[in-house]
Amino acid sequence: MTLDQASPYPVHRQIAQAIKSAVISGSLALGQMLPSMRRLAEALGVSRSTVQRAYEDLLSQGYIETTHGAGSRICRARQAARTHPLVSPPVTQSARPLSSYAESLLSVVGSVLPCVDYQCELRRVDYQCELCQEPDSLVQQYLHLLEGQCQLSLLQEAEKARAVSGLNELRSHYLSYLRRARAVDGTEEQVFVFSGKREALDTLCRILVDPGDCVAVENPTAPHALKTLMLSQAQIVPVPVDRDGMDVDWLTALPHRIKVLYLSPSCHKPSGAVLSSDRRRALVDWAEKNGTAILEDDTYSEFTYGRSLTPALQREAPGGFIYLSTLPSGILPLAGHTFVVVPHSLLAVLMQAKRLTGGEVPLLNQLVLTELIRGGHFERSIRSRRNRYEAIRAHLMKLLPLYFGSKINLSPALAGTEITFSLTSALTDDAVIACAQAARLGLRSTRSHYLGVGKAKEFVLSFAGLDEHSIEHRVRRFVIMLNNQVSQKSVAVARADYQASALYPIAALGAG
Amino acid sequence: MDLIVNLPPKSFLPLHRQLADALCEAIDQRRLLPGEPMPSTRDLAQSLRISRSTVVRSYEELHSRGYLESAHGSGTFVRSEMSFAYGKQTELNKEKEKPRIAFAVSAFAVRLLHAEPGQFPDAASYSTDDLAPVLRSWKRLWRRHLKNTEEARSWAASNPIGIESLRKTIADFLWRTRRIHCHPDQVIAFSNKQSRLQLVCRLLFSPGDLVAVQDPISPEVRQMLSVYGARVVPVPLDQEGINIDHLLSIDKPFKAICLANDDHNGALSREKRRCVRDLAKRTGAFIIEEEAIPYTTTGGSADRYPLRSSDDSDRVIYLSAGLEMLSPLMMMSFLVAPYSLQEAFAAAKACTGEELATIEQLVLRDFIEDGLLEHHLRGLERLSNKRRCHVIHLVTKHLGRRVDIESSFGSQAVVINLSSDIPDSEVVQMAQESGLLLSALSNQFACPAPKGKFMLFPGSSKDALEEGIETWITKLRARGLS
Repeated sequence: MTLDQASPYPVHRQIAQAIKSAVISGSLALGQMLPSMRRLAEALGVSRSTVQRAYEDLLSQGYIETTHGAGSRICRARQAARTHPLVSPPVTQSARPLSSYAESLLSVVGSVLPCVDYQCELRRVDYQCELCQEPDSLVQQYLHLLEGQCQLSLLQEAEKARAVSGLNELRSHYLSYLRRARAVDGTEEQVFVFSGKREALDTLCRILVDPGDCVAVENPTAPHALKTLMLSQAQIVPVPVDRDGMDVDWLTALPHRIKVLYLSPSCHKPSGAVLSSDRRRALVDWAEKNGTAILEDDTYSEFTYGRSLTPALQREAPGGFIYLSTLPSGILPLAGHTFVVVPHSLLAVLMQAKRLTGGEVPLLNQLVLTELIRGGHFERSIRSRRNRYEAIRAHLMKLLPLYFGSKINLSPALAGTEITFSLTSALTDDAVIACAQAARLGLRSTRSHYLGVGKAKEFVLSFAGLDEHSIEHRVRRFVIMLNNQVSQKSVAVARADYQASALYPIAALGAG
Repeated sequence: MDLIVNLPPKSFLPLHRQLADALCEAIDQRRLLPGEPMPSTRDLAQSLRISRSTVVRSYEELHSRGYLESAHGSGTFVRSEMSFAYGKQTELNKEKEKPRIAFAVSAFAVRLLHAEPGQFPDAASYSTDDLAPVLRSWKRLWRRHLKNTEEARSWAASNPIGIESLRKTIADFLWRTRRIHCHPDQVIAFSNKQSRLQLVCRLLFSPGDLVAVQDPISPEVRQMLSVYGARVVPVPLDQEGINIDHLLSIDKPFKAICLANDDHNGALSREKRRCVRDLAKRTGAFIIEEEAIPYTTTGGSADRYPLRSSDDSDRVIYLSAGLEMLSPLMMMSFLVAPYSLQEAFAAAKACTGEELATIEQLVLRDFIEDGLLEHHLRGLERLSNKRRCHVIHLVTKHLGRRVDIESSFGSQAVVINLSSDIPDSEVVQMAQESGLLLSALSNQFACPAPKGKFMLFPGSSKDALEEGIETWITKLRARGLS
């Protein structure tokens, strides 16, 4: 047996691994005695405790057995090697029905929302464009803070300060950020920390909405929010959206009594529209009159590219708004954490909901996040991301019309990390998306954002993962791929026809 | 540092005046608190897209209005003592909130408010002190994944039921330690214990459903069932686990059987396992099996393995022992779903579940793969055995025949039978005053609870324990215990 000093694995693991592979290859026979720990330690030049550790691991994994006083031997009837059955056993009759929640869940999964294909999401990751990635500097900072916070004394302190709604310090630091940067109104006790947006939204829905109540949403809206809202078994009322955000006149003309309204006024998903100031006022008045609870989703409003930021709506009537803000996604454990500011009237019930059914954000993450906000690293990274996205967005807004001309119709994309556009093309949606993927652009159809059928030939391009230098290359490649596809399709079409109908003037562009 | 200011769209005032007014408003509204730093002029100018000199000018104006103060070399701050006009706005905001009617909450919320207040936190059974040996390796694993983020990035849009490689590791771990044979897709990861139990209840129970629940069981389980509107039918235990005759005598159809595999309640015998499984097969009821204690070695008889290990009915939902001993480093927990429910769990996680942090999952995976988890568990087991012996020694020394101690293997707590006529609640209160972690077993029972049974958690410090027990016993004696 040889040990590799350069290996990333600890020595005891290497020893255990070597013995395991010897057993599997058969060079150590079943039932064969192993050298005593002391002898092996001497032979390898390591300490005895290291060998002991390896033997203990092997013991608990069922590779060896130990008899007191007689040393260790390879297990005779080794059960450790095994395979997972890959096919499911015959599905037994589902004798007892599940809950009504589960039933609506399964019906939703199958029909209305094809996007719940969670395993498909996994496969899509090979192009990183989907993500809003943290800059490396933030990752390094996180590591640095984690090493500082991962100490017994600090953890013990945190354990004492544990609270259902999140560590007090974290909540107060984040609230002061929200107050400053988003003009949110509230006190510390009104803030709750959730580990994800879905969970937060779900909890809120459940304490506000009974089956059959009316819930209004922007149409289109973020797909995961749509899924969660639909699962509350509420009646969903889709409200159209234009370049100035949600159509408030349409909403106020509705005869229904709307219990909850979910919207993102500062950064509509996916179009990136911002609610105009007239509409904001009208909306607040309407909600006040009708007693509608407004769930204001303020996610990605940090990334606003207009002349000046619009403050959160929540300030206009703090008693009627529930404010949600999710940290930008990425790989760090803080990504997706959601802060919720609720009015006083909901404090008691949300507290109880979180205590009994929801969970707690891991304390270590809370500690590190607190430090990250306190030290200003968090805001700095937001700012640097915003600058980067702004440049990329400006570039794309210029490039896309240039390449596609009148065939493309761009959304305002005043905020967020995505651009929505509709495209006139002879190809199917899937073919267009396949072309984009081949060109390493993160393109999706907007269908999953809509309630009901959705629009054909409308796409979302998320640009957070792109870098400025490769954009032009990727867009150009995308256009070439599209042209190739079109030409393949039209083999049967007469050549003259083809030239007349050539979709994109790529040659002209190349010359220019 | 970002600050949002409200510049009027059309105004005849010069820009620096507009900005100064807007900043005053922000301070009046308490969006910037006294003593807080102001954003640097450069940052503000950049985010508002105006020239820096305009911002400098408006800051000067605020200085002269008495809103700001400067500390040499460290920037500009909101003045810490402000008496004038300040705070008017906040009262105004309070007014704004008042006249609104409170929202009508849902029926679920009403049930929530009526549930008995839960204890939180409940992880008293493990002490943070015991984490000392793992901190270093925990940090090392984080460093491994944060220094080289490639793997994490490749998983970034992660699967809502957990990263595949982690679930495979868990499946292997469950096989090694508990002889549970499952496909990684059946393993569902949760970011904490509560959300796991709540999802199980949510998927299975509609209001009014019957559930047969072993009695005693942890109060959290009973609470959660009641929040979901399920009706609990308590089934007593005997020497070999759940009382089968009693279970068979329930005449109405029940949806699930809830079992807790903890140590002071004795393991299910082979015969009983067969009965429970047959019952589940015949009636289609699910079995919710929760394990309380993480086991390390495969030692012991087959009776110690969970019901799930010999399951062929595909009705068992196995809630594996949480990794609470790693709290507050990590709070993830897992369940093994039956095939027929795997899809429902995955869909529920995708639609409503909490997000799992990618790197944290990778760290946990490596922690288990490197054998560190089992190593730590073995260490804890040795430690808790030692502590238990110590508690038993101390309690018997002081109380002698008044006390009867139930042996328990592997568990953190010692179960004490105290024969006295002091009410349980008083005994618990006295223990709390003496700094002991003691809880009455009676709150685990639904119907006639046995009196005088307590669980004592040794805690981590030997001296504190000795002192605590002595004060406790003195108090008990003062209350009339002979």
